[in-house]
Amino acid sequence: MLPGVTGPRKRLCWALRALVLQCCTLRALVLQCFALQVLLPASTAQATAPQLAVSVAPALKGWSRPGKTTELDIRLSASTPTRVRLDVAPDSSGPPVSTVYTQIDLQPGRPQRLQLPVGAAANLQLRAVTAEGTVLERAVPISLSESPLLVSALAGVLAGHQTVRLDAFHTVALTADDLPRNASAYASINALVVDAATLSALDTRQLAALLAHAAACGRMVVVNADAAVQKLLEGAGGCGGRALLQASSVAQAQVVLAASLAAPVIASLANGLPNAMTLSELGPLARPSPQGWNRVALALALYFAATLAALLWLHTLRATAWLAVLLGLPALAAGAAWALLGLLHTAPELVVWSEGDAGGEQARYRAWQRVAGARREHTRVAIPGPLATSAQACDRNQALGLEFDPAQGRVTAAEFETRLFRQVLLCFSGSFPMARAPQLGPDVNGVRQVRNAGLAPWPAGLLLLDGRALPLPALGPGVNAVLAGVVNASSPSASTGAPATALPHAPAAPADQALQMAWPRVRPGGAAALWALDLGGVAAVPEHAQGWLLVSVPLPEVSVPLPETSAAPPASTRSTP
Amino acid sequence: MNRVNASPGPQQAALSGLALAAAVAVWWLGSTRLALDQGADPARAAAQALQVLWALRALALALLLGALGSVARGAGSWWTGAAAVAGLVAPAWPLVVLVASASTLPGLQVLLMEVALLVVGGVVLVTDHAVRLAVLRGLGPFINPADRHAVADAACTLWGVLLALGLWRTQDALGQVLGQVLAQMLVQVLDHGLPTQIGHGLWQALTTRIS
Repeated sequence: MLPGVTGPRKRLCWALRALVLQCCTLRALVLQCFALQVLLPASTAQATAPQLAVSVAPALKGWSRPGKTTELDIRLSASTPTRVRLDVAPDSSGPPVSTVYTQIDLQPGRPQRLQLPVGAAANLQLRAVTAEGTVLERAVPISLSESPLLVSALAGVLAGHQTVRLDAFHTVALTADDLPRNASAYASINALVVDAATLSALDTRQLAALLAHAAACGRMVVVNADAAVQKLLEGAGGCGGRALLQASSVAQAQVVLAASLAAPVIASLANGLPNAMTLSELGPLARPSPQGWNRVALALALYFAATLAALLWLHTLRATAWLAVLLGLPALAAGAAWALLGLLHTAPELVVWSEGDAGGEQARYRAWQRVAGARREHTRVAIPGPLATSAQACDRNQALGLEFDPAQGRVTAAEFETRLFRQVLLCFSGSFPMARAPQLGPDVNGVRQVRNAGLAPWPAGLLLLDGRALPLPALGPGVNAVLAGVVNASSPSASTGAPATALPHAPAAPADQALQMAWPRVRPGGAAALWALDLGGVAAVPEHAQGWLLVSVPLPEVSVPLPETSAAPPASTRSTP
Repeated sequence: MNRVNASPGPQQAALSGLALAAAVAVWWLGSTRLALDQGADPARAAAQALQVLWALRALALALLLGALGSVARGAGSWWTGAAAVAGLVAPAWPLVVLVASASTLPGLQVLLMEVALLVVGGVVLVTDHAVRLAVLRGLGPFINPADRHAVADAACTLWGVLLALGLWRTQDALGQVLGQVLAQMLVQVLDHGLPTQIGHGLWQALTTRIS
């Protein structure tokens, strides 16, 4: 109460006091609302942030070898629907190296599991980042063995009783679930002993990876194979089945494996293809196109000529004009050079070289995809599906990001930094089914017959025999043909050194290069057939792609004539990997 | 109208700069082609070409600018010297763009090296002028007036040789120092913001005026 204030003044004071109180109350309300408005989204965001659970286990119980590919088995779950990006990279402070990344959608109550093929390193780092920003990291130690790895996957009565041991090999005992689901992860091991019980416990992807490993001449001994297993493995082994062995006991498996390792034929077959890390054996097929270099050289020559002419012509100028010309013209030319770099882009090139034995069911291949850079930029290249199982950079020091698609279960793209004249090479290796069974007849007065002893027709190609390249006609199954018309293509060591025969369905120049590549690979005293591969039906194959299949053909040891033609006329289908 | 018909400075400098760039271009293209044919990485040749290009132009600035600039300043002005600097440095810019695209050096570093080269040119111009003045004024009483300018030219050439030797011996350190200084200036401008600084200056001027 205000002393000495009465009447209308008093009422006015009370009214003002009430107004102030109401304003304070209103202000408090507004502040509360504001606080709620500010705090509510934060609390809501905290409530909706997904709880991410990640567990990771390396295949083969974490054993691998330096420079090889292994596999990580990753299990993911989330409390709310979210999208997670996974990155796996070696945990090192050195230069950037290859990483594998993928993105996966998670739903609550539906854990996901995927197996990522990654390059082996002593410490791998898995990083999972959700769309909301939640980050989880896991360190995965890998045991890198300096000795060759022998994997013993024995279950049932064999487990724990006996262990396969070989000199200089490091033996790792595994269960069925420890075996990888990507065929490329088998690169970590040098020999595998597996029994029928373990084989029956494998899931579909594990079995497919195991068969792909066998097809790629992976050394393997199957113990106690029953009829079903024998039927499964029939014809599955590459290198004529000489690397896929069978034994009735663990002791016999050890003996068989030791004998296999001592046989140089197997070793040479397994390592016979060109080394994926060096391109020296690929020779002319790997020679980069000089198109970009030519354009840069031409542009520089034009610039120097034009500038010289301009300098000789502009000889009467004021100093300020000289300054403007000497700064302006080179600056404009530098801008033009930058624009020129954008015009130097060339399409990726793919070269596939495959080899097999006549009558064999699998051909092994090496492939190289080359991307020529034009300017400094981030480049993304799609990887052809059939080649994706073993995609890696040919140069181990090349930083590379491989995108793994969980739906397709394979690597779908590669990302890397390019620059002018930088040739980034991606290497692939593996095997594909093959149905080529050429059979040669005896030499009768300088004339030989060739027979398609297989069940599928083959397209026209070349037969490399006695230092000469002969045209090999397209033949249907069971059809004979007389080898005639010696062409002017010969071994470089034979005479001219310049084979010039063009393969059907292939441009002349690459055929020459393929012949140069093929001649040293024909076994002494033998022959070989060379076909161009039709890569047109393969998904994501670059525009400039060429593939070759070299099939070794044994010469007949006795003069037994070939059987007569027993089937339809020659077909002209082409081989497809 | 002050024409510099008698002064071959900028033209000669530009021709010299063009010849240097052309020589380095031929060497770079050749080594790159060899690297490509051998399956090697051409980035090393590019990095070497950038270094050689910088060192050659810096040496040319130190050696040639004295003679070219003094002749030009006899009939022209500081603009002529600046044009001579541009003539020695700028003709290689298109080559620098291409070589830098093929190298692994950061683009900002290459840009700073070019700016540093222009700074070196300015330093050479100023020091050349200072040496000339010092010779003319300091040794003037002891030299025949007819030979003063010849002696000054010789002193400038000697100074250029000494500067070239110093640049050659300290090119790495000098490049790093100049690059760091310019990079720091750039970072300062980017961090504090040029508009903010301008705004701050305007505010200071306004408050001073009001007070």
